[in-house]
Amino acid sequence: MELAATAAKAVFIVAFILAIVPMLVLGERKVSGWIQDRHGPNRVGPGGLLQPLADGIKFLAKEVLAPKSVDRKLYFAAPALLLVPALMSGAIIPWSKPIPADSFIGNLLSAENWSPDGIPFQLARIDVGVLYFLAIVSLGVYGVILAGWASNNKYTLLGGLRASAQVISYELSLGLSILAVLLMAGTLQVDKIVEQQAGAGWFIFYQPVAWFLFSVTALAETNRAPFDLAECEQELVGGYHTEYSGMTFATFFLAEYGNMAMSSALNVSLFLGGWTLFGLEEMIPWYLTFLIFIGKVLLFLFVFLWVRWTFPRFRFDQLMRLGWKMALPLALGNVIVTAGAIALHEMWSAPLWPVMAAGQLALIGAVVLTSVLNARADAQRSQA
Amino acid sequence: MSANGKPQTIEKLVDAFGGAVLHTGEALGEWSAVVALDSIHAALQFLASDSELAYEHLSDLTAVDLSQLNRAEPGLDGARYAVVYHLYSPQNETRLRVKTPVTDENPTAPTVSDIWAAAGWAEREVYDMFGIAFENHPDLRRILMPDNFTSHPLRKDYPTKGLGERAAFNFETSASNLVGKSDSTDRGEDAIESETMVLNIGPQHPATHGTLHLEVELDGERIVRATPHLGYLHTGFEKLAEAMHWNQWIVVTDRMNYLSPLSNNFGYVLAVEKLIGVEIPKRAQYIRVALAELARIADYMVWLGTHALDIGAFTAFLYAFQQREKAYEIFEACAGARLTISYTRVGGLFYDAPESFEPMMRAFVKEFTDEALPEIEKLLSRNRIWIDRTQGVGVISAEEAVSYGLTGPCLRGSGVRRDLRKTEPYSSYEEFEFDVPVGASGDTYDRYLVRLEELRQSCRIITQALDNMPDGPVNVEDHKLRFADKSHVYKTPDHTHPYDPTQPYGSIEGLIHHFKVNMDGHGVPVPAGEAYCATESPNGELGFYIVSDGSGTPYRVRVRPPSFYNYQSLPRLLEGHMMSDVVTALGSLNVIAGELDR
Amino acid sequence: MPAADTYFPILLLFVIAVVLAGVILLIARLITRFAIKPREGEAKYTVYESGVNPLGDARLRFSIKFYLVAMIFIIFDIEVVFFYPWAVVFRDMVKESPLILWEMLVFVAILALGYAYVWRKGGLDWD
Repeated sequence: MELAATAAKAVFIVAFILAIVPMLVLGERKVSGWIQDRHGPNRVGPGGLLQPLADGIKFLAKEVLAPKSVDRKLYFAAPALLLVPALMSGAIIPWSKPIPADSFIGNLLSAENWSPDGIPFQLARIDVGVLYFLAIVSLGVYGVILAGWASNNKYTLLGGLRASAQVISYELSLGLSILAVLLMAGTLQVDKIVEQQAGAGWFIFYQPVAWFLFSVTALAETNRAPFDLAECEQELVGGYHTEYSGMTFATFFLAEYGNMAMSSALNVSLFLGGWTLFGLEEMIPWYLTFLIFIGKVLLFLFVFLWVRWTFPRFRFDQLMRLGWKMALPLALGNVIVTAGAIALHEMWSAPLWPVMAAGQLALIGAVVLTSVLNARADAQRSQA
Repeated sequence: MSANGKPQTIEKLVDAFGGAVLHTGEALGEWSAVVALDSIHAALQFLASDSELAYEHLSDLTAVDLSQLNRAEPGLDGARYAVVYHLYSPQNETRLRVKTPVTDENPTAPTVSDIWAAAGWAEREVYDMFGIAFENHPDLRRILMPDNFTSHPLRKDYPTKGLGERAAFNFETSASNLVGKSDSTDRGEDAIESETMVLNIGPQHPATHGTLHLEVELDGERIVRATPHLGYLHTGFEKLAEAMHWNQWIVVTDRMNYLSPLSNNFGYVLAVEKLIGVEIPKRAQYIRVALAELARIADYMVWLGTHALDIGAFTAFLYAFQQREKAYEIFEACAGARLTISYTRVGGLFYDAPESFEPMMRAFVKEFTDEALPEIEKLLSRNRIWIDRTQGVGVISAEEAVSYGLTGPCLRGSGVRRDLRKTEPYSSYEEFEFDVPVGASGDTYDRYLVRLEELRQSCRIITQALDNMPDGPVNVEDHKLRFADKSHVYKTPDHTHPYDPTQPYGSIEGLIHHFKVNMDGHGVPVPAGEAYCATESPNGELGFYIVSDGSGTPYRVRVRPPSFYNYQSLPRLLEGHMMSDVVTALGSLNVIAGELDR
Repeated sequence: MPAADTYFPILLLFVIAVVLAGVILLIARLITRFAIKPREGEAKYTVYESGVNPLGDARLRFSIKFYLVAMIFIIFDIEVVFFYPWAVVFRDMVKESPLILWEMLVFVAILALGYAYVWRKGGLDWD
């Protein structure tokens, strides 16, 4: 029965991504419509709700067209290479509190025989936890760069190169921003990190800088605006997927939105307390904690969309500068400040939150100071 | 102007070049000089560099095929072509037309692209259209027609009926020649060695709104070289004019800068009215001004929207297009059409503005200045990413901007305070109060700020025009000029003339006037002569140089398209920039393909 | 050990993901093959370059700068990986002795030195 539970969870993760992506696409179009003072899709089904279905059918019915000069093996492998990591990254996400053995599903799987504490609603409680997520997500860039190269098209090549340079540049900051959470939690396992937040409060209250960095770098890692240089229409037409059509194109879409959903899920788990809600989670059944989790993820996805429809796009050198010269030192500084705060707390039992807050304020102050100094220097240069 | 009535320019020119100045004369307030071909380069160099004259600005360079002109042009005897230079001196605010005779046997002329950078493309166009080769031109290739085109369409002997050129012109080879159009052969080997990437941006590209084609050579993300290719939307408007009545061609002008069609209508009829020498009623002038400013707003809205879109701010695009939509409703109320409105006529307007005109305009201006513009500004002007993307990108200094013949917001962005509405006011612009904003550094951000400020000034002008709108007719009284009122031609079921099937015609006079103005060989009576009339269109100086032989159709119409000259500076703007800056710099020039290629 | 704590579920998920990706692409190609009658045409099977024939091949040696970024990334990424085990045990070990903090500060100082060097050398500038 344990195998059945594992299989069910694996299928759930894949199904979740396959289900949320069409919803996200529709949501994106509706939200952008709302932001831009227009209706968005409203023809297929009530209020345009069936639009994703129509899109899906259309994608399926489209010809899959490969130009003559492409490297066919890599050309068709690339979308799969991008999709597989996107589907796999959800394995370490705790979706809700453990499903009790005496609940309906627990009974169904006769859980009390093998898991008296309930079935963890998390596919793999492996001890590398967060590291697994980072490793899997960064595999996706192979799909992007191979798609760009295999297409034998200059736009796709530039798109692929941009994407890979961007992803690796922001990966350092991403890893370092997570490190602050690890310092506090003392574990890599996401379920334990979530449980700690249930007791000690969400980590966003201790680590706003790390959270902000994580959110920004997650935008960059998922190639979302304003970091969507790899596929910016106005410069590179379609970027790395210019030469893809029909279902192969849809696969890229699926992976991109799946990554968005999964990085939001990790963000929620690490910083926003996952499925917890200020102790409320103790009182409610497991499926409501699942809904809490999904609600938080959706909130985050909305922020993703909001950002996209508000900001212009970076230029490539600006993007690299932001990643290497601003995000990286800030993330490194945050790690040191956090370590110092924890040391103070553990050694002289200084109250954790005020120390942490002081450290964060110092970081924010440093950032403001440097940007003011930079702006001054800029002004002086332009006057000269 | 000196004592004997001749301006200082002409005197100095004659003093310096004596016998080489074959003729000088004045007509319709424009001075022109004919200079012999041998001395033309020296004469133009003199005019441009003399510190008192300082004709720093080459407004336009074109040619006229004189072979079928029914009059002798003084100083141009025996010449098949005249190359015509329109010069402008910002220092003295004077214009001068210089012509030089070019013979059929040896159709060559010296290039002036070493004097004014603006001449580069203009000479290519003359070469393309007339077959006049410019000696020492750095890059003398066809510009609007395909490379394998064998003829020169603006020559008078170019057949306009039958297959003509098309018999010899193979579209299959032409399509495959799209690659040949770029000079890939002379660079091929070199490109492989340095491993730069040659990338075509356009003609089918999301950021080349219209059909621009830019060939860029990239080293990674950096631009090594950018070469624009033109002509994808070439429609032969200037040739068309030679076969159309004066009023008929108004419709064609709509298609030039299709973002602000009224500005083109306006500029063209002003030029014709200048030739005729007629002053149109004040009310028509005011309506024209108000609508031209509205057209400017609509044009800038498309520019702003697409510019923002290119830099990635999608939302600003839709906000801007909403305002454009509202402006188009006003055009629709006036002219019945939204895009190709053809609202002006020689001698006035098609119709008087409707009663709803004023309230609609006022409501639009109020909403635009109070809500829409601040909202768009809030999204962009102080946005860090926007500033980073536009500041320091596509910088052009004031001197270079003048040399490249930039006009309009692109010139003002570089800090040159030149606006034809101020320096050469037309259509009662002198009665309006408005400011001319200028930028400081000549980068994309400055051009953006200049345009935003001009939007406010346009609203000011519109408000003044509405406040002081005179009553009266909107057409001249001269029935030989104006279109007869429809109710005078045939009874229509409108409110003034109840339809009466027994009496289908309004009046016999109306019918006769209508007939005369419209019939082949009659048309609007435009006297023989020539005129250059420039207006401040949204993109800059939109000039119409018209040569009339007194018949019902123009002999030659030359459009001085602001986009053409502005676009020419793009390779200069992109020097040393990055791939992403292509769309930024291109967007800041607001190149309109219809106007660019004509 | 319960299955959830092993890597077996990951393997299972991997299999499902690969099968799914394969099936999607296979179905798409089958539909193209049998349900759609693709039109033939030479221009259709050329790569897209803004509607004109591509100038040369896209398989170029691309700019060295991309490699530079990759190399700097690898150097720093390896160093960042050392942080992870440290971070996990930090909270427990710092209770006993602050040595772990000083050790890491030394490590960070070395890292910062390298970072400052790369910055000064212009390795972080795109140009």
